[in-house]
Amino acid sequence: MKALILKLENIKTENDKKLYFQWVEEYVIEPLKIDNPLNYEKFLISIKKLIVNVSKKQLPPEVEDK
Amino acid sequence: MDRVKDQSIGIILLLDLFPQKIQSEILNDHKFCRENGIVADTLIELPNRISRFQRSKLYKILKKCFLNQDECFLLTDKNNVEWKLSSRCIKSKIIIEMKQDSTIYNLDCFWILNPCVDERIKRLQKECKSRLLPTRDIEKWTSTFSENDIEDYVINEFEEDLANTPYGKSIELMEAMKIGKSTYESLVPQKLKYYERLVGVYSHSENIVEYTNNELEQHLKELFSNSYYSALSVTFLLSSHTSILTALKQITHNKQELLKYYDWAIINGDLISQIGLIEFGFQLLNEYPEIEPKLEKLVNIFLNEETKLQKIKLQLLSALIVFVEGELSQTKVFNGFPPFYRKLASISHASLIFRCALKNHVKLKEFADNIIDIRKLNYYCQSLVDMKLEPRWHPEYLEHNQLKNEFLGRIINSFDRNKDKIKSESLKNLLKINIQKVQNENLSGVFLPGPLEGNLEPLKLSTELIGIIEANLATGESSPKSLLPLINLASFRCIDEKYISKISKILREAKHILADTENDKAPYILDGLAKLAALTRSTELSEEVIILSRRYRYYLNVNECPEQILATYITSAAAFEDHEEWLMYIGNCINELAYLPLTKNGINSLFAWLKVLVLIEPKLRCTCGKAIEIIKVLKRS
Repeated sequence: MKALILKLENIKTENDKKLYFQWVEEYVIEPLKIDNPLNYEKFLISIKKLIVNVSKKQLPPEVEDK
Repeated sequence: MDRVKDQSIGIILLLDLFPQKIQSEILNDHKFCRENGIVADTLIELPNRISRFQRSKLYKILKKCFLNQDECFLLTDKNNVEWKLSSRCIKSKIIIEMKQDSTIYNLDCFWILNPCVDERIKRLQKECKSRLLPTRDIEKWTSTFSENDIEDYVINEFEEDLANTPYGKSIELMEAMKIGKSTYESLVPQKLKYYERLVGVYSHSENIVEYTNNELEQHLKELFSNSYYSALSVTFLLSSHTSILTALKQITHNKQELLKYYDWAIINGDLISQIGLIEFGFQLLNEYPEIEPKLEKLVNIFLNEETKLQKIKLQLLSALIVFVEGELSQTKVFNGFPPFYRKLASISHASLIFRCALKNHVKLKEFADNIIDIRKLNYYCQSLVDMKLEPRWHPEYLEHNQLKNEFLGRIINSFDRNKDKIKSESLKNLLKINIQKVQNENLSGVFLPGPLEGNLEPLKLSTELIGIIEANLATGESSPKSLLPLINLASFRCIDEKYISKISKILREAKHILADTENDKAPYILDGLAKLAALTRSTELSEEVIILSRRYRYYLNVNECPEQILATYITSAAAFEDHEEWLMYIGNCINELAYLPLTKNGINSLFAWLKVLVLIEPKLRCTCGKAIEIIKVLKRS
């Protein structure tokens, strides 16, 4: 999962993001959901945990100001 | 408060870093949204795909409509089309009228938004009962909707819960069949709750008979506490085992409704419901003699009408069970539950699909042909793995001809138990002719175990049969004449360990060469010995199966079709009750196959099997990981 997010660093434009997500959906998410539904569920749970944990962190002032 | 708000905003911003599919999955998790202060405003699609609206706006206007009858409100849908909404009272029901130009829709599906609590609760209980919701769920929803202010997402949760019932699913299936578009998920639900509402909640029973006496009895009481006819309609989907019909006899029946259901089932019923009605009818003949003519019609469908349509129906039922079983194995909805419980759910749900297909006039042959191969491999591998817990049932027994034999066996057994109750001479004659036919044609398939009987104890051997076995084994030859009586009888009778040890000894003494056997017949003997090892839990014989398979490898065409011998190995592995030993046995066999000079087809086929097997039992990676890597490399080269 981290590998998938880290890739975002190389994404510069909205179109890059769209293409990248299309690829992730087609080649990572869909096959995982079909071939291994249990791991897909675990994958979703870990994304939710990650989102909640990150959202609880205090943002640095320069970001918060934005 | 601000902190929670900041966190919610943070979550929404973070969600944007994930693909749309993941975002939707997370936002559809009502619990997650509730806990994190997120209000998801989803799109609501009206029945028959009339139009789509933003949920918050639609509900707000609908609530106004209920409060101010005959007043008109305007609402714009997602395609920027303007609709006029108003409410009217028709036959004491408040109906929502949606108007757009000359098109008018009268919708009765928004009753839950009615602000009058009493009316809402009255309707809620009626709807819940007609959908046979368990009492605890009806109580939960009654309490939720007794409040004045209800969140929009709660309404959606309630609608999802109503749809998660056999009745709700049958409506979804009918719609999917009507428009000719369905996904695997729409055909085979992935929520355990649905199956629990269909076949009951599993708690502890070890086999189908125990389950019927404990959990199912409770489930039937719950179902019949609602609507009798609807309960009948669901219960007969569960008729894949005789014991279930015996449990149904304990319920107080409504004669008129029951006879009405028989009339419906003769024309529109699925095969599982029809066979259930036959067995149930035989039991009730003394109490309800009016059933007899209807019973005769049903028996005729199975025994007298050797029509093409009946054959197609059997093929469709077989194909649907394979598909549902395979899909449930793939999605692991029944992970941790015994195979007989999953099979009961699969067969019941397959019968529901069958019923919907009949009602929708779907082309049955085409439907069967389209569906049979989709999850065949998953079904086959799952059933072979299941043999470890329920060794008496082999996946091949689901073939449509065997299903026919299974039904014939159930009818004959039922007749035998209730023959004194039958008055109709023509019915008696029909059944007697079929019993004679079974004897004359030696239809042994009639006595094979049914899909839910994989772990039921078989009958003991009679003295006569013991005599035949001992006389054949006494020759000490490794010929079919010595081996076949035991192989064939093991499916119906309990075989003593001493005979299996004797067979193992004979094979070793013959240096694993089968006497009087044409080489191309060896695979059948080998497969029979694997089943014998599984049925008798003989680890000794399962080791002999491996040696024998090496001896006859050439005739087994292993390099081109390794899956055949792999199926034999997994069957034979069921001899090991200890899980670690079972894993080790299969792992060793697969490793051996991976080192053979497999053809391209052989490599692809073995790879497909291994992929499914490790999905079913991930621990197999520990014992055959090396083989998987070898096959992967060979596949790429």
